[in-house]
Amino acid sequence: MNEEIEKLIFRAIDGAISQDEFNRLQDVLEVDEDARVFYTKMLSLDQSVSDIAESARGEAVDRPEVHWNSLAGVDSETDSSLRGHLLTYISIAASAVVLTTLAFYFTRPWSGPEIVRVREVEVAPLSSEKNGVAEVVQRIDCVLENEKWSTSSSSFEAGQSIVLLEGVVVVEFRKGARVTLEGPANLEFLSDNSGFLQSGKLTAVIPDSAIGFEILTPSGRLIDHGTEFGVSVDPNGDTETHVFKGEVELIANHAKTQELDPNSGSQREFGSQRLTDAMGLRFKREGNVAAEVIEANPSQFIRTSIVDRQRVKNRTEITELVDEEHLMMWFEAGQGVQRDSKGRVISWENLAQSQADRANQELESSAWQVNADRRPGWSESGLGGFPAVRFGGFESKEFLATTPLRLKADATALVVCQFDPLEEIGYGHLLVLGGQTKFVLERREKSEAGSYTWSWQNKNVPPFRMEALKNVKPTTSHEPQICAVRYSVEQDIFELSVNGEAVAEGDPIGSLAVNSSQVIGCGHHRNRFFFKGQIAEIVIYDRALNQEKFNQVTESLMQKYRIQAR
Amino acid sequence: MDKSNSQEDRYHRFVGLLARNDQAIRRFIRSLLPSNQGVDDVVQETALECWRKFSDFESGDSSHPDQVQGSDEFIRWACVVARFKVMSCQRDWARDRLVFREHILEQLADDAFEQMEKRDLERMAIERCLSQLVVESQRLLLSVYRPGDSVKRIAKENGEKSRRLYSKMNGLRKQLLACVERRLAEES
Repeated sequence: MNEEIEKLIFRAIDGAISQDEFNRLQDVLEVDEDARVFYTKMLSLDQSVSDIAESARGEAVDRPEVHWNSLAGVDSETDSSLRGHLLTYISIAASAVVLTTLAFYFTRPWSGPEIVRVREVEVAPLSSEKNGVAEVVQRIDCVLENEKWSTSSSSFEAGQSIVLLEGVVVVEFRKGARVTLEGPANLEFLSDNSGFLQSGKLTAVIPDSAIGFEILTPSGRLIDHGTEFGVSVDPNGDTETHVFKGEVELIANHAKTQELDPNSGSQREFGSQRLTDAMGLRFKREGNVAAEVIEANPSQFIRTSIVDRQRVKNRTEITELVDEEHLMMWFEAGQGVQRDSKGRVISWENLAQSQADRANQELESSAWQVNADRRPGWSESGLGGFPAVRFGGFESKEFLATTPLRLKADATALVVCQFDPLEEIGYGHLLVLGGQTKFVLERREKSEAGSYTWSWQNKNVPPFRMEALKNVKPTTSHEPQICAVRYSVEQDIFELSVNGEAVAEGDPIGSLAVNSSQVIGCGHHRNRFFFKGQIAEIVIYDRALNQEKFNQVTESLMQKYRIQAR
Repeated sequence: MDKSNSQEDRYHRFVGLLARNDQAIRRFIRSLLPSNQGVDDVVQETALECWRKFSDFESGDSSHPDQVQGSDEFIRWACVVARFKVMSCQRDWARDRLVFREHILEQLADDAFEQMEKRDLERMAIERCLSQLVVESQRLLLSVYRPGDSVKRIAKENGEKSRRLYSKMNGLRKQLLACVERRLAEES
């Protein structure tokens, strides 16, 4: 077994393994029995040594605190009976060990925030062990062909290809070129600063360290001179190049390729050409068909760089929010929206990261839709004169999914939205937050007598539990409204407000803490509960704001969207 | 014996078996999960499921009043329950956490069953092998399990790079495993 595999196993055992490393480890465990046996033995050894260390401390096993009052998780008759009898038993049990054990098993808070001990070991990626000419640095809802057959690795050697069936993947070449590949696509890695795009689309951002970066296509060769550009290769091998910024040199493979002289309109032989800002070129793989100079169209491509996305510099011009350091998600439809050539939303930037964090982020936090058929629309003056993202409901099945976000146990969420009329009674999820414990904002029934519900669900507790808060007052379908909720298990707050007025309250039970993708516009399985209407802004804090601050934020949004108190 | 006494006896038996085998079941569950995250949830669900099905276990085991043998059978039975619980939980967690592919999980479960058989012998062997290490090595090896101690801290104290010490610790782990395997081979 080689050293890399051993290190992956140790990192897994220490809880310091990344997703990519874990995928690699699984590939190995699947085919290499020696590695699997080593993993099992080492894990067993680790557990024994851990037990010995704990015994030596003479302390109790590190387990969650016992909560005697949190028996609400299982409410079938049998289980209630079980608890009652077990607690009776506990009270008469002579053995402290038995008591501790049972108290832990049956009274541990159901799906409360889990405390997982993280060991203080090397948690940084194995950067010094980087190999290959390029590696995947970000995946966005993607399917890689090699992962379907479990031979994946996050890094690639020269000569290897990445076959992307769907979604988006970001690859960084060793010299620094960052390529966003949009599926379906096939890219072969030629060196640490060049690749061959056989089919599909990519955009590339080239830092100074990678000037000279080359992309070959069946029709020609592109040499970058410090820039950002997009390339697409259709199934015939014909190529389009669009330069967004900087300069790219193009060399045609086919000696006889002609180009159309934009001045004279006549054709001339095309050998190489330099394209600069906003220029593009379409050229054929074969034949004496003219290469055509076109205007660069960034909306034809998915870009993951945030270099020139339109954004208001002064964030107070967007919405006046309080406690920005506790913002977890903040989507405003006038900011950071990347749209495709049909005007549909590819990505919606999460503005909640602080500027300092942003500088350290390799990639921004955003909500994405990589499938062109599922992208929601966008309207410049959708709600109260402000832009909004428009979701089409069940017919069009549009939604957005965020890059993984780390949620805490509590939250305050405000959504500025508007419902489209529905012909039939239906459910539409505007927002789904959480992991095991789901937190859902849903629109129910016909919007003429509209109501919406924030519900807390915990599918991990048998039987399935749900705590729903309903707005029972009629709402007007076409007008913008702000529905909001404050949620805290610790403070026992679960309160639904509409346009600043508290309309319902209930009992919070579970923690929302999770680190995962969250969904906007449909249910978390992404196959039903499609929302029909518009969302202009989503503001989510990692805590239950106190009443004063909550009122401030609500007021700020109501003023902005010209919403009257009910 | 009336019904309530009989029911209470069942509780006694279940609680006793659970308490005696808690660590073994927990270890088995941990071996099927990529990290400690979720272990408590699965342990809890397994315990409840075992209680719900305890009569099935007893009906298949009524002819074996002997506690030691009953204990081993209970572990095996509880681990089968746990295996299904892990699979079910992993399906729920697939979007949010690291989870093992199902067939790897099955292989790991088989390996863990095998490993379980020799856990007591292994524990004794580990204690002996640990005692043979010099104090500095013992501290380094145990540092990841002790609150307040860590590889980083030891590195700082000794002016060494933590990456180097981390490699050293992994070397010690391999050394310890080799020692344990040697002892187990000798004893068998």
